[in-house]
Amino acid sequence: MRRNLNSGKFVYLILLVAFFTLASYFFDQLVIRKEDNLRNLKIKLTNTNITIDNISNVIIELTSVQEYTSTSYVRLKKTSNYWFKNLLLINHDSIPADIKQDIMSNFESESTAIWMIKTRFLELYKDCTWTHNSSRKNLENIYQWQRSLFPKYFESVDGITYSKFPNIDFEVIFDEIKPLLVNKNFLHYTEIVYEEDKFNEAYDNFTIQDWADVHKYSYNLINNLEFYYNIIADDVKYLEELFEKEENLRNSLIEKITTTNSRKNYFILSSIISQILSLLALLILFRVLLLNNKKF
Amino acid sequence: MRFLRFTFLQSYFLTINKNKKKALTLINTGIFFTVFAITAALISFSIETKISKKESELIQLQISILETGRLVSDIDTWLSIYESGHNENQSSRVFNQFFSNTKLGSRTISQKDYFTPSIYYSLIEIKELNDPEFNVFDNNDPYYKEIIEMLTGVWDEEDIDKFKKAIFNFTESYKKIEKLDFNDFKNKKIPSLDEILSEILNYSENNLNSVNDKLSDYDYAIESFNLRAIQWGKQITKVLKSTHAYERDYMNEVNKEIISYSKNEKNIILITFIFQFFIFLIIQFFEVNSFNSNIKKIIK
Repeated sequence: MRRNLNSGKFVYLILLVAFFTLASYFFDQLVIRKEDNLRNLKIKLTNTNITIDNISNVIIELTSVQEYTSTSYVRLKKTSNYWFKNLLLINHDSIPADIKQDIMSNFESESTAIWMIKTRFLELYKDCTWTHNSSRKNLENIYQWQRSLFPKYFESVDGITYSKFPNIDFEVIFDEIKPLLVNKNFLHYTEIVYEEDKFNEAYDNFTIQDWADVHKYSYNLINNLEFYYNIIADDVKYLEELFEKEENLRNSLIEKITTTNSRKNYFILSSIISQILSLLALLILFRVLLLNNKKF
Repeated sequence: MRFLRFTFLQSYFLTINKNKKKALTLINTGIFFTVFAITAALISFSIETKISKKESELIQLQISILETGRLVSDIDTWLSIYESGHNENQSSRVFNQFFSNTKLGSRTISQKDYFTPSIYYSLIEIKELNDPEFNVFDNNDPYYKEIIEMLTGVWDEEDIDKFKKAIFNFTESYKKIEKLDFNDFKNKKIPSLDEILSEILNYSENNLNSVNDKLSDYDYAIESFNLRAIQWGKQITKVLKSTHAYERDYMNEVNKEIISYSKNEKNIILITFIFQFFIFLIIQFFEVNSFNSNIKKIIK
């Protein structure tokens, strides 16, 4: 019996049984590892999908603000000289009296016409300021929730985060044209926008020179609307590049998930095949043992 | 313990004489079953390879469908905005041109004031359509040819002709504005009081209905281009929607294939398990018997 046990054929078969059993355990372990990898990759893929969706939504939001600033620019620029021209036409000394009379005769009420021209002129100026404020607020409303996408707009000092969103100072816009103005007091213009008394005061007391100053300041405010358009264009370009990177990452993750998933399934099948081969080796061992008993 | 079980088995097989033939048949059946089980497992291995390839294809398709869907929706939205903007411009232009026939309008609305802002932004937006990979303004761009080849046999001849015509009109209308530089229409300089007064007094040279100024021609060329661009955009959206529909149908086919392969694999794995179970029973039969017979010997 001892001789039988030591014989090469038996040992070989026993080793085969052991090998396939171990192989089956080994493949089971690989399945567990692959399952773990798969879970991590799926979490990464979900995160990447969320990032891609977020970038795409922010691009749409920014493009909407960009559209708002460009259409506002076109709308305001088209009327930038219109009310001033109307005012000059009925009020300026250089305009011949017969022309003035001719123009005024078109209106049903002279006073209503003057009231409309002056208020619309001031409203145009207010509109320019509000469009700036709206564009800035719309942008802030996007940027302040996207710290991870726009770290350049945030600054941490002593553990406190401060925002530094793109903004254009009205005073800077004013200073650009200051040499062209007669009244160089910035507050004089700001008060018209926010205080009704000052608005009425401007309506009643403004000279042609004051109106010319308002016209210049409004004109420059409209010119500076391009600031938001350009900022958004740069940020959208940056986001599009980021989008492309994230898309590449997502594609590589999908590739990895597919590979890992198919490997996991191959390992499951390999484990089953190893088990069957182990059983086959065991059956062959039985067969050899049975056929061997006639020798004794 | 394993060694003891093997010793039991060995001594048990040595004692089988009466039922040796039956035992051999049983073992041979077991071996036969293992061959079947291995074959079944290998078949499921091959099916798994097919499923894996199809799954990869399916994920790529799903992403492409999501992206195309989003793109179609974005383009549709922008086309609507673009078209309503274009219509508003047309109405405004018609109204202002009519108003410019009055004494007041002729002096207060100049071509420069009215046309340059929209020309400026339109040219900037048109410039943004430039793509180094796909020159949309070139009628002979390989992408257009590829699209037409793709549509041939799928769309009606009439629809393909409409698509070709939209591209032709779009690229031809671009040629008329190609040389215009948006920087020439910036109009940043704030006009002085004297300049504005001069515009009012010399209104006949620059009012909206003046034939002397080229700005209205540029505006007309850009508005024509915008109209062609809307038609072109609608055709491109149609192609994208068609691709989207095809991808959705194809995805359903791939889904069905995967389900079918998966069903086959599941059945084959079940068969493998049944074979494996029978083999296990045969082995257990010998192991239990060997154990019992050896225990009986020890008790005697």
